[in-house]
Amino acid sequence: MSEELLSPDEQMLRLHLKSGRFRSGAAAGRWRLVSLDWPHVVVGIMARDGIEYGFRFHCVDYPHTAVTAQPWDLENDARLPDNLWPTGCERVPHAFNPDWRHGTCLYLPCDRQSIEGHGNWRDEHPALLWDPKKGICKYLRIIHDLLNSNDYRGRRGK
Amino acid sequence: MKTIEILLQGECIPDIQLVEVDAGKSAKEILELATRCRQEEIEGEFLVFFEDCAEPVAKIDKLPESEDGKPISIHVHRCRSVVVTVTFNGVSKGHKFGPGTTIATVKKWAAVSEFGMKPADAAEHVLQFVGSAERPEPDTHIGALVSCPDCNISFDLVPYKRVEG
Repeated sequence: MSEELLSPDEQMLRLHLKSGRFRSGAAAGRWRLVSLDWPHVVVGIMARDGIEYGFRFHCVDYPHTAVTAQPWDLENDARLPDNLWPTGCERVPHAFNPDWRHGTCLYLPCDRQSIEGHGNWRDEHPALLWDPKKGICKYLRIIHDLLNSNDYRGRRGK
Repeated sequence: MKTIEILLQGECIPDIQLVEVDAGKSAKEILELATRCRQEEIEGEFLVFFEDCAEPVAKIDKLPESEDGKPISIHVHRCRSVVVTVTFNGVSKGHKFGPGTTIATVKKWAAVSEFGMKPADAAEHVLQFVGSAERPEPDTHIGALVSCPDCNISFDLVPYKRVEG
């Protein structure tokens, strides 16, 4: 499809996926674009133990409205089974909680679904809020930070 | 002709610019390219730095071929160095870096070299602008955050907080 036939939000997402910021993270091996099937984009993000976790982002009204991200099984193109979600000691299991909203999003202030009903996060975690100027790259960096923190401990397991 | 990708940052250049140039370009030609990427006209002598290098590149030097198809990260600035101050638990440490130094490198210097953290503990901390809740991205060059002649910047080193209800 030619660019001019795309909706403005899809055009903006594609622009951000071609940006220097996204390319910089990809070149550093932090993440890679797996697929784009509007309004979803799937990105693989590397953890410090070499596991690549997939995340499927829903991007309607991008970037004015925050995206929402779901851990994604890259092999089977499906929701990631609970036992394969990342876990850790404190920050990581809170952020990646398959029981939160039936595993459809991450428990983070930059997530469209999770920010609902969490007005306190705007004061408590301003650095983790969605920023339309930075767009999806900021969300990717926040996930990458978690998966490369000392708190991260691999997959949940059984 | 073979082309190379450049991730360009610098004074008055917004975010990270991805530009493609013909291979064999010199640093002088990169300076001309940077002029087109800047948001405003600025006078003065600009220097070209490779990422995380303290010394500028000579203007006649040709850019190296990129490895494994990866882009080359370059910085263009009028400041030859940037004085960085990082404060943690009320103690401040300072150091001069090349403007093409990344936030990730500065954090490692501060957390591990100056404040004696183990790398695992350093990974639980982040640089934050003094007096702000904003945190620069790890691949941002410190020169992109300052403008000559104010070639200095200060950060706090703060721990990540758990997100809960």
